[in-house]
Amino acid sequence: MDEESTPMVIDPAALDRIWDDTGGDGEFVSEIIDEFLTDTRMRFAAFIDAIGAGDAATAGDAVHSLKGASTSVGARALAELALAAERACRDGDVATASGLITQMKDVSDQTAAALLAERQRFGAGR
Amino acid sequence: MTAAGEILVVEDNPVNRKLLVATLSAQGYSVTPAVNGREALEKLRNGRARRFDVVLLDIVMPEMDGYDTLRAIRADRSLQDLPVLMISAVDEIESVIECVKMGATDYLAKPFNADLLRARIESSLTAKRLRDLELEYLDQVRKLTDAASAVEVGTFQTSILDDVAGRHDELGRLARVFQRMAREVRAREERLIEEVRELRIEIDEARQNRQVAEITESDFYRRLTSEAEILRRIVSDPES
Repeated sequence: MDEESTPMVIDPAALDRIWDDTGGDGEFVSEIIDEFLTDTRMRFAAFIDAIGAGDAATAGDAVHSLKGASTSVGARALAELALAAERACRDGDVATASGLITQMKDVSDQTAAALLAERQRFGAGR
Repeated sequence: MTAAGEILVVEDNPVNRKLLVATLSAQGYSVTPAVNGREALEKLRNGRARRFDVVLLDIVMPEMDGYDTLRAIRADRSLQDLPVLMISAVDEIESVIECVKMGATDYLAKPFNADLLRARIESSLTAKRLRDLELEYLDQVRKLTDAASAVEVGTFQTSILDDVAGRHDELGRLARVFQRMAREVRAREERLIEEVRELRIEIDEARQNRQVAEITESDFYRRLTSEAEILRRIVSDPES
C-alpha cells in the first residue's frame, strides 16, 4: 500500500482524541499504541489457530476483540476486516473467515507501520 | 482532584480497558479495572474494599460475559440497584437491547465519545444518588416503625432514633417529636413508680400501726398488762 492510502489505514484523529481525552499525555498514547500492537499480534494468532481448528466461536471472539481495539485507535481498515471476519465466524462460515486471513495480515502490517509513525509524533511531544 | 464517583470498568481488551480507565480518571472519577465478569463480581461483592457507584460492562468477554455478569448483579440484593452501562460495538445493538431488557441502565458505543461517556456516567450517578436517598429514607421510616414496636413492648431507647432525628425534613421532625414524647412518657412512668413506692411505704407503716393497735387494744392484752403490773409489784415488794 502506498503512502496515500495510509490515512485510510489509520485515522489520526482517533489518536488525537485519545491524547485530548486523557489529559494530553503523549507517553500514554505511545503506551496504547504498543499495547495495541502486542494485543493485535496475539488476537490475530489466536484467530488463525482457531480457524485452523475449525473453531468458529473462538475465532469469532478473537476478531471481536481485535475489532474493538482497532476501532478505538482509529485502525479503520483493520476494524472493517475484523468485523467481516467476526460476522462470518458468528454465522459458522469458517471458509469465508479463512479467506480474509491474508488480507488481514497485510492490513495489520500496514496498520502497525502507520501506528509506529504516529508513535513518533506523540513521542516527540506532538 | 476529588473523586466524583467510584467506577468499575469491566473490559477484557487491554487497549479499551486502559483507554476507559485513563479517560475516566482524567474526568475526576476513581476507577477500578476488571478483566472479566468473574473478577468484577468479586470486586463488587467485596464491599469492604470499595463501594462502586457505576459499572461499565463489556458484553463479549472470556470466562464470564456481560450477560451473565449483568444477570448476577441484578439477582444480588446488595447490587441490584447499581447502575450498569453496557459497552458495545455499534454492530451489537441487538445485544444491547437484550441487556437493557435484563436491567442494564444504558449503553455506550465503541469507540466511545468522552463527553457522552461523562454525560452517561453523571446521569447514572444522579439516578443512583436519588435511589440511595430513597433507600435511606425507607430505612429510616422502618426505624421509626421499629421504635413504635419497641415502645409497645417496653424496650425503646431514644438513641436508636438519633440519626433519623438529625434529618432536616418532616421525617426528622416526626422522629424528634417521637423521642420527646417517649422521654415524657418515660419520665411520667418513673414519677408514678416513685409515687407508688412511697405510697406502699406509707401503707405498710399504717398497716403496722393498725396491727399494733389491734393487739394493744384487745382485752387479752389489757389482761396481760394488768397481770404483768401485779407481778411487777409482787417482785418489787414481796411483803405486800
